[in-house]
Order: sequence, then structure tokens, then C-alpha cells
Amino acid sequence: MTALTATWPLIIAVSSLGTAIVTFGDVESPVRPLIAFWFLLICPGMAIVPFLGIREGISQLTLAIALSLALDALVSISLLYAGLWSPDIMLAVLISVSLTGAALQILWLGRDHEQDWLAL
Amino acid sequence: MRQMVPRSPTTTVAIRNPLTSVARWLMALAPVALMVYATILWFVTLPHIDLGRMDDLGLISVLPLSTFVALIILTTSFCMALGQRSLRTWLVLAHVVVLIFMLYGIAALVEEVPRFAHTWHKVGVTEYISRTGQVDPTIDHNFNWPGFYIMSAFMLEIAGLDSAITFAGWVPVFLNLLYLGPLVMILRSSTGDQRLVWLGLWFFYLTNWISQDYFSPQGLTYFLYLVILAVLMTWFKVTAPESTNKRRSSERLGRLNNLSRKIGPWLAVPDAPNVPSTPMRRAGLIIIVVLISMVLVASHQLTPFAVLASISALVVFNRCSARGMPVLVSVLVGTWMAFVAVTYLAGHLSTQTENLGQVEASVASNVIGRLRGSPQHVLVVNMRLVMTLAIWLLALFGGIRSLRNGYWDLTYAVWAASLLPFLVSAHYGGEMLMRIYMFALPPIVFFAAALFFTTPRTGRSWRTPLAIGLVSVALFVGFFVTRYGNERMDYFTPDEIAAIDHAYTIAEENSLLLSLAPYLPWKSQDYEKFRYRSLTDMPSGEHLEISDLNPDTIAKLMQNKKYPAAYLIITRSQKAGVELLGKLPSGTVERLEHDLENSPKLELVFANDDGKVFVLANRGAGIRR
Repeated sequence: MTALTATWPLIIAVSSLGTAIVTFGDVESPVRPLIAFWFLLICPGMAIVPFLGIREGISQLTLAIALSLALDALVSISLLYAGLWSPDIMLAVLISVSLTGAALQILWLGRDHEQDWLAL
Repeated sequence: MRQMVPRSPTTTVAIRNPLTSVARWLMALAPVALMVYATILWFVTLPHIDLGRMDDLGLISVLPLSTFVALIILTTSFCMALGQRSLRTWLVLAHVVVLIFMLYGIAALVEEVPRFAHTWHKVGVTEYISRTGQVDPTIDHNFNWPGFYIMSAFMLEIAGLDSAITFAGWVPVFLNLLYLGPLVMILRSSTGDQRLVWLGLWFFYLTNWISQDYFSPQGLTYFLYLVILAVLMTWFKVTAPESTNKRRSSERLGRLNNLSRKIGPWLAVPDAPNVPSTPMRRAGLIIIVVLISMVLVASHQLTPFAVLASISALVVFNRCSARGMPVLVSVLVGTWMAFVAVTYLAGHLSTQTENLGQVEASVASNVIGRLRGSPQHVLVVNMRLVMTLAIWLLALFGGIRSLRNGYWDLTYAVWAASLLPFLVSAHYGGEMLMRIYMFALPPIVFFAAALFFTTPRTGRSWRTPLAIGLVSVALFVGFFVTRYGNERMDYFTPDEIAAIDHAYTIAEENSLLLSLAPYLPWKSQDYEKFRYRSLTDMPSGEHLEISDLNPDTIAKLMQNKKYPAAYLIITRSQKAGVELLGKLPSGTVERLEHDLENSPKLELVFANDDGKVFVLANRGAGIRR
């Protein structure tokens, strides 16, 4: 049994695109904070957590938020201490992680050995 | 000896239902209708709250009766929802969410600017990092554990927001909603009885009065702490075969030690339900826990030690199979302290360790030292002690009742007990007892809820919802006193903000910003560019007596050559705080203000109803209102 579906990769892709547009385009809009916080709080974690095969929604969402915050913090902390304080670069890293995870989820959906992976 | 059993995952208990289908349909809808009515009633009471009339009991002194009526109605509908034959998760969840908004969102709705001086300070630390892109560990302790601030600065930049003050007032609601997920996981990890789970959540939000859920590292790291415990308690339980091995081990030991032969089987009882997990899933979860732990260590001084104590106890008492986690967390903590926080620790190690093992000193700073101030404030402090004792007593009785019914719930007991030794560690500014209470609250509310729903068959009579309702009413009345008891000094007005903004506008870099007391919304901008002192909270070695609070002494302080200029800021909240906490005798502040305004050595350069700014007389350019 798997927790992977096509829904979250699609949401992650759209959210990544939206965040990239409002941030890199420096859009001044009341929806920018909503889009940005939605992406930062949910997407990086949700790109990875479904691979754990956890079906219960509240557990999945909790882990996704916690992992998203952890990734946000670790990326920003690492780059700051490396002397590379650039929110744009940090966001690019997180978008890359999110899109990579989403792409892998799509790839994995069609594979027959999903259950073999989780049964290891 | 009674056989110790894990809580059964099955909860269905067949009961006769003589009601007709129409009556059943009405009974199912009733909690929804009551919840909606309670919410509307609560909202319409908000405009009637006049903060200007608050006394030293805090927000409760100005809450209309209808606020409590709304909460009573919500509690009634929650008890109805909990008692329904088929518990509807969405319904009880909706009740808990509404409760969160009522208890934690009320300040954001009735106060015009974010409350709590510490909020503004944390905003200032974040602003520094956002502006400079670096941390300076010599500024203060926040910059030695800057993880939360760095992440926040990054998020603000991406969101296009100038300051976290924009949303800081709503952070308590956001964080308490965030705590829901891991709390559900934690409570479900040892019982399948959903009534127990949701009542535990209900009690959590009625008793989480500590106010550490503001825009702060502690607010976020508490969420991460809960997630770590949730993961370990859900997927890393010691399963039956391991516990059987442990039982054999204890039997071998038992040949040498009768006590361990008796305790061993108890330690071996696994928690239920056991969520199946594959090695790959467990590996993935451990990686997530490690990443979260890294952020914890980088963001807060105390929370990593709470994690360490909790998971170490769970491992030692054979409740958790992630036996490497305590070592890993220790390594992370040690590494951070040795390489990053070393600047702060080098200068503060003695203050951090001076109270180690000192029970009397700990009680003095955590309890006795707080029992001072106005009579109403002393009542507030006593209420905090009463609320703490009340929930712990409920938990104790719940634990005893559970034991008598064959439920050991060792995991929760071990978790709660693991935090008690912190009381004799560093005093943490007199807040260690509150932090212990906060970190131990999840297991405590589990046992408190178990008092009412001890087994799947108990709690089915009319007496149980009545008892829950009465306890809830007592708790939410106590909540408003304990959480918002200092509100007269914790809330700020736009006029106070205007006074402080004016000071920042005219102050030169490296100037001294002087206040009467530290209860004001400052330090939120250009934090590192100024020096901050409060007359009633001077560093040791610079302490001022009451007789020193006069224009001449204050002017002398402001004339210190190491500051190019100095600005004295006095606001309504400072005056409230000084009176509430008994820092100065009654009437002292009014006399001081009068003397300052009439002193030839000082000049009033800004004044409104709630704030005044003074400079030395040879610098000012007249009053600006």
C-alpha cells in the first residue's frame, strides 16, 4: 500500500511556480504572503513525506509541516553561516527540493515495485 | 498482582438506543448548532471589551458575562459531541479549533497592536538578521541560538513583509493549531479510545496558559519537541517480542533482585495500538527526527534538553526502540554549545549553573519570588499555582484510576517524570517551573482525561459529561486569570507605539534608550544600534534604590559620556507593570513623572496620552504632540 498520489505533486508544482513568480518577480500583493507561507510551510515536507507510506492524514500533514520548517531553517542557517545570505538562493534550493520530490512521486506512482520498496 | 494490560485499540461498546431516528438526527445536529451559536455569541461580545478599564486581574476584569456564557455553551456542545454513539472526528475537531480561537485569539481581536514586550524584542532580532544578513553572538543570547530568527527573516523576505509585527498578534493561534497534529498523534499512540484523545486535547488547550506560544523560538521549538515525541511514540515503540526478551532478562536479574523481578513485567508491557512500520519507513522517520533536532539545537537553549530528558527516559524504561537518539541529541547539543554558543556560555556559565541542585533557590525564584505585587496580582500568581496543582491532581487521580483498571500507561508516566529534575537545574530566570509544566503537559492531560474515560466502557452515564463540563468551566475561568492576568502591562496602545517610534526617529546611533521598566514595545528596530536600560531592572552592580529615582540621578545617568545622547521613555504599560508587580511603592511613578516634567535638567520632547519621551535639557527642541 502506498500513500503516493498525483494530487500532491501537482499542488507542489503549482505552489512552487506561484511562489517563484511572486518572489522573484517581487510582486506586491496581499496574496504574496499567503502563497509564500503556504509553500514554505507545506511543500518541501510534502515532497518527501509521502515516500514514507504513512496513510493517516493528520500524521502525514504534521510530519510535512515539521519537515518543511526544518528544511527552511537548515537551508537558511547553512547559507547564512556560509556568508551567503540570499533569500532568493535559499528559495531556489527549496523549490528544487520540492520539485524533485514531486517529480519522484510521479515517477514512483507508475512503478510496480512500490510495495516492494515499502516492504523492504 | 493485577495483570497490566495495554489500552485496547477497540472502542466500540454496544449500547441500546431507544431514540427514534428523528430524535437521533436532532441529537446529532444539536452540538453543531450549539457550537455555531457559541461562536457567534463570543464574537458579538468582543466590541464590549474595554481594555482601558482593566485592573490587576487582567483581561478577565473586563470580559462580559456573555463571553463565559459562550464558553459554557461550547463546552456543553463539546460534551454532547463526545458522548455521541459514533464519535464524529470532524465535530470534536471543530470544537477544539473554536476553543483555540476563543482562548488564544481574543487578544489579537481586541488589542490594536501585538501584546507582550518580548514579542517586540524577538521581532527586532529578526529584523537585524533580515537587514544585515548575519548574526553577532556578542549582542545577546538570542544570537547564540539564532535558528528561529534566521528562518523567520528568510520567510519574511520571501513573503515580502517588512516586519513580523504584521502578523505577530496571531502567532499564538497559529502555533496552537500547529500543536494539534502532534498532540493527536501522541494521545492516539497509546489508546484507541477517541473520547480520551479529544478530551485530552480539550484539557491541553484549557491549561496551556504559560504564554510561550508567541512569536519566539520557544513557541516553534515546542512544536518540534511535540513532533519528535509523537514520532517516537507512534513508530518506535518497543514491540511485544522485544518486551518478552526484556522480561526474560529481568527474570534472570530477578534471581538476584526481587524488586526487579516484580517491576520487570510492568516495564515490559507494550503500549497499544502498535502502528506497523517497515525498516525503510523507520529510517526515513529517524532522518526527519534528526533534521528537526538540528533545528531545535540551533534555535533554543532549553528545549533540546527537554527532548534529551524525555527520550532518554523512554529508552531507559524500555518504551522506545530508538536507542541511539539520546546519544545523537547529546552530540548535537554538545557540538552547538562548543562551536557556536561558546561566546555566550563563556560569559554566563556561572549564572547558568549557580542553582544546580539548589532546591531552595529554585523554589525561591520559581514560586516565592513571584508572590509579590498588588493584591490582585498576588491572586493571579496564586491562581497559577492552583491551576498547576489542579491539573496535576486530576492527572494523579486519573493515573490511579487507570492503574486500578489495569492500565499502566508507563510511557506517559515516564515522560512526565523525566522533566521533574529540571526544577533543580538552572533557574532560567525564575521560569523553570513554568517550562516543566509546559513540557510535561501532554502526558499530564492524558492522565487527566483518563480520569473520565478510564476504559472504553466507562464515562457513558450522564454524570461524566456533567463532571467534564464543571471541570472545563473551572479551567477556562482559571485560564483567563492565569494567561491574561498580567494583561494590564502586557498589552500596548497605538499611542505607546507612537512614543517609541518618535524616540527611534530622533535617537542617534549608540544612544541610550532608558525606560522606567522593561515592559514596553521597544527593541523591534535597529536593535544593535542602541543601548537599553530600565531604571527598575538595572544590571547587577548598577542597581538603583527607590530614592535614586529622581530627575537628578536620572539626568546623571543620561549624561554618561559613553552615549552620544540619551532618551527616557515612559509609557502606560511600564507604569502598569511597576504597580502590578510591586516594583515601586504606590504613587512613586506619578511623583516621578511630575518631577521629571518640572525638572530644569530634562525636557519633554514628545507626549501623548500613553507615552512620553524626555531628553537632557540642553538637547531638546520642545514638545511634539
